[in-house]
Amino acid sequence: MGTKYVVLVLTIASIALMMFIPKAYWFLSYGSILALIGSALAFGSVSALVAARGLYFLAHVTPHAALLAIPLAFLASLWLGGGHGLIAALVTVGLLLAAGYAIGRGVSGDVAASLLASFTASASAIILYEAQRRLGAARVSSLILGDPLLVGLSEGVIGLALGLTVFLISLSVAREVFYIGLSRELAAVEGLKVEVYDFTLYTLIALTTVTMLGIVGFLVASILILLPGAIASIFSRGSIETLTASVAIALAASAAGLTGGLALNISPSGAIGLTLVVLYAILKVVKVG
Amino acid sequence: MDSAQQHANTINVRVESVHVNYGPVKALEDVSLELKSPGIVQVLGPNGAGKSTLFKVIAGIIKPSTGKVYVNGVEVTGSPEVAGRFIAYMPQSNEPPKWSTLTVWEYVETAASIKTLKWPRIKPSKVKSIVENCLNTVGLPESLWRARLSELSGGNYQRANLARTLIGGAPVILLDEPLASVDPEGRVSLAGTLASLARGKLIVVSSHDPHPLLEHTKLIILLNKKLIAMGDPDSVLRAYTPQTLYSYWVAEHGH
Repeated sequence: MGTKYVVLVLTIASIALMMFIPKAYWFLSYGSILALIGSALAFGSVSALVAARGLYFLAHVTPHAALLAIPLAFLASLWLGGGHGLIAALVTVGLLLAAGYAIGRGVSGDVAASLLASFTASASAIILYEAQRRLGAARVSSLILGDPLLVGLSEGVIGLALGLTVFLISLSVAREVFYIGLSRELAAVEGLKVEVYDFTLYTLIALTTVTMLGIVGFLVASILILLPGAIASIFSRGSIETLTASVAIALAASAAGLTGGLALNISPSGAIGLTLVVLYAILKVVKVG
Repeated sequence: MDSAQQHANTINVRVESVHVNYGPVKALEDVSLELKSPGIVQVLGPNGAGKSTLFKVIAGIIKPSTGKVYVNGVEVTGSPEVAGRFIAYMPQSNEPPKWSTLTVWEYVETAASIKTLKWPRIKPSKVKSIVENCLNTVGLPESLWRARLSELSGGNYQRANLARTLIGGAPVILLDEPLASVDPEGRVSLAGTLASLARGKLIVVSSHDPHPLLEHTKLIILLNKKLIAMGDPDSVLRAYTPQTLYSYWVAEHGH
């Protein structure tokens, strides 16, 4: 019961704090705040599922795939016309599903993730170089560093809607995903369609990363997809409590990181990441101690 | 009473000329046997003897290179869905998973939901009585029902696994080394639980040490990739001491 109260208070306090920030900083829009809330909802949810399945390495590699897919989609839309969002999403989901398929066929998760990282990092170097020439360094830099302060209201609303969707889907599959995390083979024997849950999880990881990369950036996306779930796993009991605690932690880190980043005049994305690292270290020490 | 339970007193598992290869390595060679309920059957053999492989073949998880498996005349070879109508399987798991936040209750409840409810399984309260029954049957104290699996001792973790295995009331239960990593006191207690369960089911247990369950065992199978011996405990253990069995294994493998 204690954890549930902490989660509730943390969530309300974080959202209230973030909604207050634009009143203190004239240059900050509500679009940025909504996008950050959406990012916390999505990353917090997916992070809990990643922790339950022990897919840390694969999740950590996903921003590499998105970092390849987004500039590739920008270039493709320059040449072919049309929007880049769908192309980027399809490429990222396709790469993750390929790695997931390999894991499902018995390839070690670490080996599949290593191959994905090697391929996407190499291809990204080529594509980012081309994208920098054609689109400008600022656009490439924002992908890597992230800039939540530049998000407009309509993008913020879309970000929030995406975050809520990922949260609700994650909530609906959490019990089974946590169960599969104990033994995929056994879950399959008991009649669970593990391939469907694998597909859902890999798609959620890919879509969350590719849609939120522009908000938090490549560097911090790697942290947000790993640490909220890992932190929640230290003290939570049960799948739903772990998932909601993970979301609350992502929200709190976003609120604290944004406030701290603005106050200290440092990158808000970096401050969000550092907040999570410090929180993880403190809770681990407390738990072990 | 479901169809599986109706077969509880007449269940018959038949393994016919099963061969399993992992690449160039032979895991099982020409294993044939027949088991009938009720009672406890122990499968003994050293590491690498093929005990886990045999269990997976019977549960339909591994499809043998050649050979067939039948339960009450129904072929279950390589088909876990069909085998699952008769058989519950508990894989070897020596210690609780440290990373998982699942509680004992949610672990057993999710297994029950998978077996009894259709997706999205939003009314797990329907399975509450099933979960309570299974946890009480295996003697897991109620004070531990809300504990994380990672907080359980080896013995209580095996009890939680056994409770999950009992969901669905399968008449055949395959337990792969259920007493490994359980302390001596826990072994005696868990053996008693298995003995009471075996009154209405066929329970097949793999082990390195037959003694904790010996007084409740009706049949012992000695396995070392091939079937070495099968019979009542007295005759088998008189003819084959652990030393002879392990020396056979050393002679076969050269180390």
